[in-house]
Amino acid sequence: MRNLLILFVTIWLTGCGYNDFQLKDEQVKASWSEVLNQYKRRADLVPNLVSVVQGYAQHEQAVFIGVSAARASVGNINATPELINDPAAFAKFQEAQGQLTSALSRLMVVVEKYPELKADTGFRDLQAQLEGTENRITVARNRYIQSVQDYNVLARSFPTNLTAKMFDYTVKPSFTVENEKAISDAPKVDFSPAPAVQGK
Amino acid sequence: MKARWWWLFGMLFMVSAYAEVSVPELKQRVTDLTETLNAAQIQTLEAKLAGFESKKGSQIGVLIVPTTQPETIEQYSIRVVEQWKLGRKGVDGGVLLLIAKNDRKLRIEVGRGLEGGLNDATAKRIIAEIITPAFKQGDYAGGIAAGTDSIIKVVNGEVLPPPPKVEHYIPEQTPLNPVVLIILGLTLLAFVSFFISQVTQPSTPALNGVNIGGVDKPKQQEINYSKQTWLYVLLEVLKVVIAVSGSRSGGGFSGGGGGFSGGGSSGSW
Repeated sequence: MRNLLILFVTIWLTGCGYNDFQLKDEQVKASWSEVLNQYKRRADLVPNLVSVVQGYAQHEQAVFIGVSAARASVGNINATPELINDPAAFAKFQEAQGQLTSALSRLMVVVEKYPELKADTGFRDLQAQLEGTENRITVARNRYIQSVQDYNVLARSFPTNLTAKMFDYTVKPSFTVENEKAISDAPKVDFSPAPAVQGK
Repeated sequence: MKARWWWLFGMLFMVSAYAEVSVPELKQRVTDLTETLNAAQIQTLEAKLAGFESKKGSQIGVLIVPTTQPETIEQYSIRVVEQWKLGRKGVDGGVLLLIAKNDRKLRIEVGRGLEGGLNDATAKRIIAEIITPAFKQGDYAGGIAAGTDSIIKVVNGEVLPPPPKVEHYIPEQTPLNPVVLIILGLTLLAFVSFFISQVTQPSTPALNGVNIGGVDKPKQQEINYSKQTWLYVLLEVLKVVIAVSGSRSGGGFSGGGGGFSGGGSSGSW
């Protein structure tokens, strides 16, 4: 029994990992789709958000233009699943999303100046949706990072790296620290609990 | 194989080891680590949520922790639901109401399958209009009761597959412990050899231990021995039954494998 187990483990360890590559590759693809999905959700929210804010804050044209431009540049990138196999395109995609993130956070800072806007139920709902979507993006990104990590470890460690070379499985790009910084500027959106800060 | 799992587990632990608040084990629907709610309140809440699950199939969990620092409540919350897996697999109708009491923050984490009805805006409204007003007055039990009531109301409006007939979901049957199986097999073997020896040589002194195979010549205490043997058999059967039933009594409450993708809303009071 024990010998059989050891034999089994040995075979498993020295296996070429081809099937593991199939599995992990699919996992990376699936988690990337989720990232794209959530970024798209955010982009879809932008027009509604801008139009509601515009109703109360007509004088903030510069901010609106910034948001629209950032959204347009996000829309211009053809976000296909193949993007993850092209580090350059991946970086460009990241940059565009990061710009939209910071444009949106600027918009939400502007909102602070308009109490009636903050009281508007339509705006509050949109704000909740934006917060939720930013959080979903964070979750989706983390899961993508995790799946890429699993995949890359397989692609680089011995002996599965030989399989990777043979079948041309290259290391996939992940989210980098610089992007992480740009993203983590976003939580300025969370401005509603002002009284709680005082209460602390 | 086992060593490999431990190794994996260790790796996971190392990744998340830098002083994060650990996720408590899911034993019941209401987990209060701050002793904010009294036993009766937990009981009532527990009964309400269990009743709802048996009707609608949706699992709602309540967790009260002192703090989620250094993580944000969103980061902690997603770790909790990833571990607890509230809601049925594939239906993903789980909801977590998480309260970080000392941080004065709370969050409603919504399972993937409920994001349509209990969407971010609705979750935010439940937090802002129903739960936090009560929390501001220090009425935690009232806020949680009213909050779960509104969550139930919203989820009731959703179309979900009907729950199975059982009261709550039993996790996949854990296979019998191999050790128990071996003991069971050995005991069975012992019985059989006893019986055979009894039948072929009715007077074998079975309980002398050394002579189980029955090599000795018959003695005069047949009736006594057979009585003792029967007692012994009964005792062994009892032991095995206890061992087997003990090994699979997980009991309590567990998540059904529901998925979350970060939907819901947070607030503070």
